[in-house]
Amino acid sequence: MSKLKVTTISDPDNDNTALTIDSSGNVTASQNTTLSGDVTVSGGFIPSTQLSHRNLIINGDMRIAQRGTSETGVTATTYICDRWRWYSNLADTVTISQSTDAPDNFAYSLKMQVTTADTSTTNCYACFEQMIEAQDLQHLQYNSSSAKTLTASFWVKSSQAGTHIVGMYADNGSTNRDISTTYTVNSANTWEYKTVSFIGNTSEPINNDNGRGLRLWFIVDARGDKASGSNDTWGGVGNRGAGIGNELLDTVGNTFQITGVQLEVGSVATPFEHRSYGEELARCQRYYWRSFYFGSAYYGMRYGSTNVMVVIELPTTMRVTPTVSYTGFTGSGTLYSTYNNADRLQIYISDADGAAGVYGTEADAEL
Amino acid sequence: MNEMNITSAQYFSDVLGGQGNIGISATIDGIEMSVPLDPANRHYAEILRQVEAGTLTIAEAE
Repeated sequence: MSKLKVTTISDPDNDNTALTIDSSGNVTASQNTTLSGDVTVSGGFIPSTQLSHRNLIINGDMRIAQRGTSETGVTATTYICDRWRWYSNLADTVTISQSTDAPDNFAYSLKMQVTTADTSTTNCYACFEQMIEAQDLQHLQYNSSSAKTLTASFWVKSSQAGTHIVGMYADNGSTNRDISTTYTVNSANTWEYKTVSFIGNTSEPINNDNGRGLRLWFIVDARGDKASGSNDTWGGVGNRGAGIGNELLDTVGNTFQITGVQLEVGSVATPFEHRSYGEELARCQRYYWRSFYFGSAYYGMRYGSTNVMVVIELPTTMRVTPTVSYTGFTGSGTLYSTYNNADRLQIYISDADGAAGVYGTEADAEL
Repeated sequence: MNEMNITSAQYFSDVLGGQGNIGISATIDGIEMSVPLDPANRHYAEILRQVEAGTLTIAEAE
């Protein structure tokens, strides 16, 4: 038995300090540490970043698709997988779908396929994007010297190899800012895992409210002034597609897919935070709710001699009072008025025939 | 390009309590919707933007 007494352990090549031991026996590891066996912690475990709820993205694994699983003939915007908006101001037409083609550990991806190409429009862009509610981002400490770095990790499959763009857009209503960075798709039509980081914005705040805070977007096409500017720095709205190597919307049949999207504080990507279906659905329903039995009616109670009031308690308090639509009413019912708020829909139906109900109710409070 | 294709918009009023306009009945992307008068609602924000741009008029309530 022997005892080794040291205060510092350094690497033999460059003399970087790896471990220090103070007079109380406390050990500090100064460099990255890899432990290949099981780790048991008998004392408290105090991480510098949170262990759960790390992912700022909702439905990053594309499993929730309340509106449906596919839409053809999309010319501007649409939502298929919840919280993920397709946006294009080109003259293209695409099909957006929830695809079952996904990498290991995932069941779904979000897919775009070009059906009508656009080779001529300039100063435009197209993307998949998710907007994050501003009040959920206050811990990023933007507009201060402590503004935190964010890291995005994701799986991507593109029909075009080469340089692609992922970025963020900060919407505070007054000084909106972009930051973008490039990543390389090495092989066409192959699932690849990517990570990128974005420095914090030290100059502009994120409002502390229920409006738009940040959006993470995957730029699939950017042209003219939307493909100018600089990468990896916060700047004006031209900073969203600089260096893009592909204009995916210029050829019919081009495809772009993503899944496993995670955005977290720090400069290192951690494994994707898989959440239960119920938890993910509830998160999505803050922004969009569709009656589960979409083809069945919600019936109400009589109000006055010819009116019926239908009350629907929403499963989650929505972000704001939602926009509400219906596919129809039972019998001869017609919409009389609505009194909706963020947690309840009250629908008044004129119907002299008796009991009345409402079909196909949707409530939209997206950002 | 507009983010939403809004082809009609008309205020609807509080028929029960007499509090004036409480929302807009609008046809957006071909679907009739009840839009609240809340600027944080994206549909109402877009209606206001198109009204400001002079491309949309909101009809008075019946």
